[in-house]
Amino acid sequence: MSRTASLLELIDVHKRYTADGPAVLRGLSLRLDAGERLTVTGPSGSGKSTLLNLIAALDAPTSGRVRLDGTDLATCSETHLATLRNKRIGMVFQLHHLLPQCTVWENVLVPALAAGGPSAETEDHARRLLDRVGLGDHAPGGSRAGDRPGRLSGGQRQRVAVVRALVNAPALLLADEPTGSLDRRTADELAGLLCELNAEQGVALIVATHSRRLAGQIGSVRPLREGALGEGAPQTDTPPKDDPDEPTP
Amino acid sequence: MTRRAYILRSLWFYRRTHVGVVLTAAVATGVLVGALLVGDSVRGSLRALARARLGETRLALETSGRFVRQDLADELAAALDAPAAPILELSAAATASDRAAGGVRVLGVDARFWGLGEATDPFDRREGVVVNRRLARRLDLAPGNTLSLRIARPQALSRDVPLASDQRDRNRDFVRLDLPVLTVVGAERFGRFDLRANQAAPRNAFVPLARLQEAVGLAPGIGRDEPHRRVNGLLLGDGPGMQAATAALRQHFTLADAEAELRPLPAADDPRVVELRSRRVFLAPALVAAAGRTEAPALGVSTYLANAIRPADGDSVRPMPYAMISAVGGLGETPAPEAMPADPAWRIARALTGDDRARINAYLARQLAGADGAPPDALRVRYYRYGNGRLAETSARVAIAGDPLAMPTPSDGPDGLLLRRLTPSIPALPDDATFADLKALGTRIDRDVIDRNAARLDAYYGRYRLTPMAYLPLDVGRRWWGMPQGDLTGVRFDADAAPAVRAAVREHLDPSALGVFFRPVRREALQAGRQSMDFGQLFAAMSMFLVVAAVLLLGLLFVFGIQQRREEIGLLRAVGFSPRQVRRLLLGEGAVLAAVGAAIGTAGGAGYAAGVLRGLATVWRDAVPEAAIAFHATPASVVGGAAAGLLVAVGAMALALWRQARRAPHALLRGQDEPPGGAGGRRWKLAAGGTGVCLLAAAGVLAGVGAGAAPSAATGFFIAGALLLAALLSGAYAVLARPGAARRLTLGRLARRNAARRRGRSIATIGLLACGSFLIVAVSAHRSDPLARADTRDSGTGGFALQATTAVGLLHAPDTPQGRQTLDLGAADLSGASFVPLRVRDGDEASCLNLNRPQRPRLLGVDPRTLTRRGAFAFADTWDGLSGPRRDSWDVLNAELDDGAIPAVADLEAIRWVLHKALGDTLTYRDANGREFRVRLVAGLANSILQGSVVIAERHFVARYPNVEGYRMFLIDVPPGEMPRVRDALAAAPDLRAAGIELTPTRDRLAALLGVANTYVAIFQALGGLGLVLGTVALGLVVARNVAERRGELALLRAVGFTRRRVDRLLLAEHWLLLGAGLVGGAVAGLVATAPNMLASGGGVPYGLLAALLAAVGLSGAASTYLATRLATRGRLLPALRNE
Repeated sequence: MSRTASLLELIDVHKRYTADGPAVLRGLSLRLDAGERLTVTGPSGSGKSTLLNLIAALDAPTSGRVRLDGTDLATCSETHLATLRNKRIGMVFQLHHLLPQCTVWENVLVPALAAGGPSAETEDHARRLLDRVGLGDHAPGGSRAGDRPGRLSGGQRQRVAVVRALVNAPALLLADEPTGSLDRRTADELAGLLCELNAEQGVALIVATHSRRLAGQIGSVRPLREGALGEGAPQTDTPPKDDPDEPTP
Repeated sequence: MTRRAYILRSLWFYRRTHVGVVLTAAVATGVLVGALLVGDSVRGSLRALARARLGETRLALETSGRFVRQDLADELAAALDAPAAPILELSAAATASDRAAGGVRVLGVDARFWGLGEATDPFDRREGVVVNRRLARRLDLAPGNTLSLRIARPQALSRDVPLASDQRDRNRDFVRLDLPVLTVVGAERFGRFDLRANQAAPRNAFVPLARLQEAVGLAPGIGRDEPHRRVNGLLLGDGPGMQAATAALRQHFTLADAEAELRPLPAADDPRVVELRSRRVFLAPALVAAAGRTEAPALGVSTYLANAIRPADGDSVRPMPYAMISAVGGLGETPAPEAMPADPAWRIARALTGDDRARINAYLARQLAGADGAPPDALRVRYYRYGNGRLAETSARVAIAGDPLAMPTPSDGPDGLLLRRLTPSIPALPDDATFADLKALGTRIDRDVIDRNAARLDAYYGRYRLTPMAYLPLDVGRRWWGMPQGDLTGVRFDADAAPAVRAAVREHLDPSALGVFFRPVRREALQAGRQSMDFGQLFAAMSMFLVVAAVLLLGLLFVFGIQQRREEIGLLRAVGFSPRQVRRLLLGEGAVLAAVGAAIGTAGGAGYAAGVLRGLATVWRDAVPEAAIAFHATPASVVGGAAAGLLVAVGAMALALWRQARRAPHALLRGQDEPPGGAGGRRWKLAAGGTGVCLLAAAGVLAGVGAGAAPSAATGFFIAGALLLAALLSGAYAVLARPGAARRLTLGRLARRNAARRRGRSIATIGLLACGSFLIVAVSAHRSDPLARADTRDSGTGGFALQATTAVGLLHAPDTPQGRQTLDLGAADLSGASFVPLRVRDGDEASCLNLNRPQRPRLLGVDPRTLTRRGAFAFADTWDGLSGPRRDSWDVLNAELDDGAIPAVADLEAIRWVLHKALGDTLTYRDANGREFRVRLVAGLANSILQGSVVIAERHFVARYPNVEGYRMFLIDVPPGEMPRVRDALAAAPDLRAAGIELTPTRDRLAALLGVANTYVAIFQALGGLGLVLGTVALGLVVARNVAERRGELALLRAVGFTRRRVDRLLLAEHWLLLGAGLVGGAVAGLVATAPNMLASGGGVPYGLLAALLAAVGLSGAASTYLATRLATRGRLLPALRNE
């Protein structure tokens, strides 16, 4: 099968933070097509966040190439990179980073602001997404339209963060330890939501986590070891007993 | 969601954080707006003052000491269809009860004057005097009191000239008017009238014009050869422009206005010739030139008094003393021989043409005849030559041609009269003067000689009166005794040429050539106010440190607020905002804050200005002596100040944001905003290199100063100080940025490491404090104790103990024999006192006591040798373009400048800050003949009592202002401790009292002048102090922020066993290090920068005050640091570990 340009391609990517410091990534290569899923696992300090930052054009590799939609990110201007982040990539962080001064509705529309302001289409999309994640009453006209993030639970906040990541209909959703600050039930719900949105919105999904439970829920797990991606580990929906992520019931 | 909504949400959400930013923006704006409003207030008050001084007067006639016809006012008013008011302004001394005041201006005015002032005529046909408030206060006058005015009678001929008397008779030459005070008028009733742009009110006494004219002899009267009422000023109200007024003046200006006449001789009913003559004795060259434009032959006459005439060879013959000698000759082209056949003078002149020989009359021939009875072949004539402001007796030799002349007496008929009239009317002598009257010429006449020669003199003067005994060719006479006043005493024409001469004068005489011209006084006044010391700029400059401190604090507060929101910025970047978009968003928020701050600050600025004005009226009143500054505001200042505040605030925010938004988004999202790494890589080496370069450059500059290569010591030292300041900052950077592990970690080293973590913050702190202490030291160096070393020659007093001014010029200093004689000082004990006399040409006060910008500063003429000999005053700087060996002495006044400008010396501070000039710049004046001449400022004195005036050499002064009579200022040396004796003796001398002498101890004068500068310094210190308060607040804020950022680390220190006190010590060590480096470094740099001032300033620098000021700043900084540390570490630190 002849292959057209992948959505995302990393070729022999190396990353050091200082010239004489240790290599965080060592010749990492990766391809991801539209709508695909990938879970990157690894212990703290293995380079998961670094990898996601490189993919999100928030950082640049020391060597190697990162291509998005066939475009080498190294050749892009800062403005172009900002546009790519805005239009093609969505990000969810371990902490939701919602703006406390804005309402939920305004928070999800913040990315649209980077392009000058939300269009009616974007607002419709945002409304649908909020409905989809069960927070439709926070849209204008809803019973909780004026609520700010401070009045949401942790899971709700993270769902708002997911909606914010998807509001510009990106091709690639990056989630960095998205359940790291959630309890198990809420984490399971979020994992399910991410998978569903991946399927429904056709958005490629990369999740970085050290939670085997989340990895098992997302699937396509590839461990990050010694700066390179290993082969996928068997998927499992049952987290191991010694999973340090698991809160004590 | 829109940008605006985002900004508004953020503003509201972070409102508490924003309060500080808004307040600091308000402070910065308020200070700027306030400073500009202070400027508006000063300018507005000066405009009001100009209005009070001049009323509706637009143009004023300058007469340069001449007295024109009063009728000229009516003629010009009719021609120009404008209100015109004649005035007669004379100097006087005033007494009332036991109080006395010199420097009083007596103004003869009529209803037209009050009309120009839009005031009702306070005389209302009553007899009396009206005084203004200042004079009333000085003499404690109230309506009904009697005011005694002693007015010097105006003289047509300057007493400096030998034909005038150098002796002023207290009774004959002064007029005393005892008048009841009718009312006291204030500025609103035109009592402030003054043609000079001075803020100090004059001492005005208004007298009805006709009364004053009659009293001083400027009106027709019995026994007075004066057909006109005369005035020396004329005010024109709204209507005509300069051009129209000048044209009308020229059209209506007559011979009478030039104080000249065409007199038929020998008698009006038998005119053989007409003679152009002047009551001023000497004819102005311009008048002679205009009259000479006729076709008619003209005979020039120059008659003078010879002190003695004797045969050139042989001493056996008794010289003939005090003989009039006349030089005669044709003017212009050689006239036809038949011209003026009826005039014997013409015949003599014709005989002398082309020959440097004299003719003498038979009487002189007899007196000088040798033993053989033959007249001498040549004469030696002794006479006074007038030059450089002094009379010097000189002698000249001339051969005699022809036989002695026949001697008709005046009573013999026309010929005798025509010869007699060759001698002009001399004010001191009666028309029929005999030899005894010659004594009226004062000390220039040797009374013993007259007495010894009484018989010989009586024999001649009894019959021939003032008929000249000897005759010279005109050019010889001009060469011998020609003087700046003119060199002709008369010009004769045929009697029938009179109409042509009158027509020629009217057509060709430009009044300005006689020093009679209009001055656009209103324009000058408004200009003087507009170009006055810009208090707006001054206060903006003096408040600059306050503004900088506020802006720095604003920047810090804003950045701290932004840093709290670093995750927000990281998120914005992560979702696709470019750094620029993030900046714009946050800057939009900042701009709103700045705008709110600017709005509050603008309102506060008015309050600040009102506060400053209150200060200027009370504690700082010495800065604006005798000026009441009322609040004025212009939209331009309000808008400009607000815009400047807004721009400065937004600029500070933009600068702060530029760095923040550049940080990597992922780092921001992790909550990291600290710059990576504590070590500055190669930068510390660069900084260390920069420090070395700055130090070397400073040393080089100082060496250059030592070798005399620098432009001036003051500049050199200031550059060296600034370089040291730069070295301090780059050195601090190098120390903080230098990598490497310490051999042994100590609390101090840890503190240094901590200070190095936020290098920018630390350097900003050091920089702010260093600049503050640098400024305080630099400014304090200019604050001098006016009375320290005030007795030394190089101090501001020049070593003189007293300064005296008089209302009328004295021809001789009181310490000279002539002075003692002419001033009748016989009984006065002036032993040990020595006087330096100065000539005075009145003008605007060019000192810091005048807020207006002087348009024509007062001019002083001094003999440079008198000051050089004493080494009086210190020269602060001299013009580079000046050549010659002695650049720092009064000899510079004798320098010959290539472009013909006259070298001048003035106070350096006044040159810079009052005249707004630099050394080498020129000022333009008009001389007594209306000609412009330039005066170049070639040297500046260090803080001296001569501030207020421009000093030139007396010889230049006299050449330009021959009409200014005598000396009106004296600097007086007195033996130590004897000042009261000399002062009392001078004050008690009747002639000096009549002359309106005012005596000021030089220490008082210097204290008043330096009080202004010292008040500015005090204002600067007050505003700088406020700035430093903000600076220490900033320091406290830095401490609090540093601690807040490091709570985790500090908790760790506590966890590993540090006591709270030790943690506090660590923090204090870190911040006191910054405080100490800033204050000490800045102070040292400031000391170097101002070393020349400190060492050379006439008055000692208040080192104690300076040290106390710096200590207070240090203590306040230390206290704020301590307070911030205690507050920041007050809570429990250990939970911070868990948050990490």
